Amino acid sequence: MLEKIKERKGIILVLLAVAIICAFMLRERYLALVLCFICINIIAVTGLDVLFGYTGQVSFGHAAFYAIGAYGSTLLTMNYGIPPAITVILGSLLSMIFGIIIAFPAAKLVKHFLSLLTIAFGQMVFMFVSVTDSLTNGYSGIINIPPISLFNYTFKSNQSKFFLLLVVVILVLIGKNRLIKSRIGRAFIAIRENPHAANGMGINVRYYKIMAFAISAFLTGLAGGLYAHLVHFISPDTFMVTQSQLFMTMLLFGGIGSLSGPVIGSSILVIITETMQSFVRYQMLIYAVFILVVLFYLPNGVVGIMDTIGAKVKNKLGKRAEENAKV
Amino acid sequence: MLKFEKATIKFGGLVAVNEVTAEVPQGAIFGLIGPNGAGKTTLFNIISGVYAPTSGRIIFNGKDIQGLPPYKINELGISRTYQNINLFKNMTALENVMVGCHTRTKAGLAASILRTKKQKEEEAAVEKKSLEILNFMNLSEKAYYNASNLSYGEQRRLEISRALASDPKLLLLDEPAAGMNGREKEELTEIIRKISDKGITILLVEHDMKLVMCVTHIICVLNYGKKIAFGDAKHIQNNEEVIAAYLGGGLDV
Repeated sequence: MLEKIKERKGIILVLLAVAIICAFMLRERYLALVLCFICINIIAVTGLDVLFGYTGQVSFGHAAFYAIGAYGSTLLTMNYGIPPAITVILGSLLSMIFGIIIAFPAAKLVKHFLSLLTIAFGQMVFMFVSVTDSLTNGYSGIINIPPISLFNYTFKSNQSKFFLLLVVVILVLIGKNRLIKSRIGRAFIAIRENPHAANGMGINVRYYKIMAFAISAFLTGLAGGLYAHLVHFISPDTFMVTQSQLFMTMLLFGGIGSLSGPVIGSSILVIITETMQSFVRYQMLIYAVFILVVLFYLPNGVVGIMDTIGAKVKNKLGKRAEENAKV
Repeated sequence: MLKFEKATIKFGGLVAVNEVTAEVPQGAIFGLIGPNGAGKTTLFNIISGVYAPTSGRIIFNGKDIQGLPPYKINELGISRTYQNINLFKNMTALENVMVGCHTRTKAGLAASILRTKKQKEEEAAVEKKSLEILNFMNLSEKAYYNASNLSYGEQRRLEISRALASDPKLLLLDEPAAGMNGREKEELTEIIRKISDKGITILLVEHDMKLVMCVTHIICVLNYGKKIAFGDAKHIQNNEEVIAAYLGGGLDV
């Protein structure tokens, strides 16, 4: 119950912050674009969190699902003329199918074996989109991807795209919150905490591990599709292994296994990336520093630090109240 | 209710459980004892599906269960606790018990995300039932504590609570009194009796002889993987082979 209130408070704070930013950005095109990127990364990192934060299955290949969502949606809409609003969903489903396929071997693996498998999968998808010129136009990428339209309204301007993405983010976060607070969410966490005991308590560990992969791949695929229709251009460069590492950095920095972790991590890292555009060459170096900071000082990410501070403040207030009561 | 027929398991050359045949009657508190390394926990692990027996059969309510995975065995109505505590440490006591309800609930992915009326009702019922179990096990005050913050004895009781959540017909307790002090042991004896009164059959592995002798109806003694004695407490206490196994054989006493 307490946790519920805490999680809700996170959502409310984030929404407030977003509302304030909205008021400022309505005139700023560039700022709107940055906010769009934040939204897309929140969706992708939330997907990664379902897998890593809740069932404890690590993935260093999530750029693959991002790519499948992006290329799937793009190719379906450009080759078959299906409206983007539908192909984004189809692309996510395609990504989910790949997630399930990869989960069959992956659900048997743990730790470094799983890391290696996901890295290999990421590399396979990257190579596939890079070399199949006839389908994906290879390294040159695909241009002129149409924007999403809904009910005769086309989301062309950055502002309108941002509001669309914001709605998707809110839906994704609500869905994730509900999932985590259900018996399925408890099964996920039980598997992370102790797979043997989870199995003994009647949880089909393999089934739920595969389900986590499917949900995770769906969300990250969704982010990929939305990305393609946001920037109207995709090329293999976006889906390199560095992208997977970026997702992981965002998640670890924000805090794993929480609702607000991916939101905080994505926001901070996107803003840092954007403000340091002139140091693009050093981007990976900056991320590496972030990972080191997390490893040494923030094992539970920014969310963990905030929780610790919150608990300390509460303790102090409690003590003061006690002292006052004594006097 | 639960029958072993020549249950055998070999790890390489070691025969950990050797052709054990026994029957646990419905409603009994059945003790499984033996010196260290006698194969008690291994037999437990065979029943709960962690290991498949090399040969022999395990029959539960007329159904062969050997080789089934643990989650299916739990679904059939056999629930267990662990010798070295295996709780979900970062979940609250209540959540631990709620996880235990898993097999008795149904809500799927879509129902959970859409929060259908049925799913909400089920969740409320699960929470109510879990709180009742915690209350039954004298843990209701600790319901919202993280499992890792409970004392040792409380963690042991929480393990039993979690096992009870799946409405088992047979409860397997693996050394529940290990590390408990005298008062906690007395409390545990009470709890085991209370669970038995609910009509749940109990299979108990325990080193504390006082507890075993006072709480169980039937005892099976294992040594080096073989059954060496079977019967009630009095019979076991006077069995020469059992005395030899515990005190060391070879001497004429």
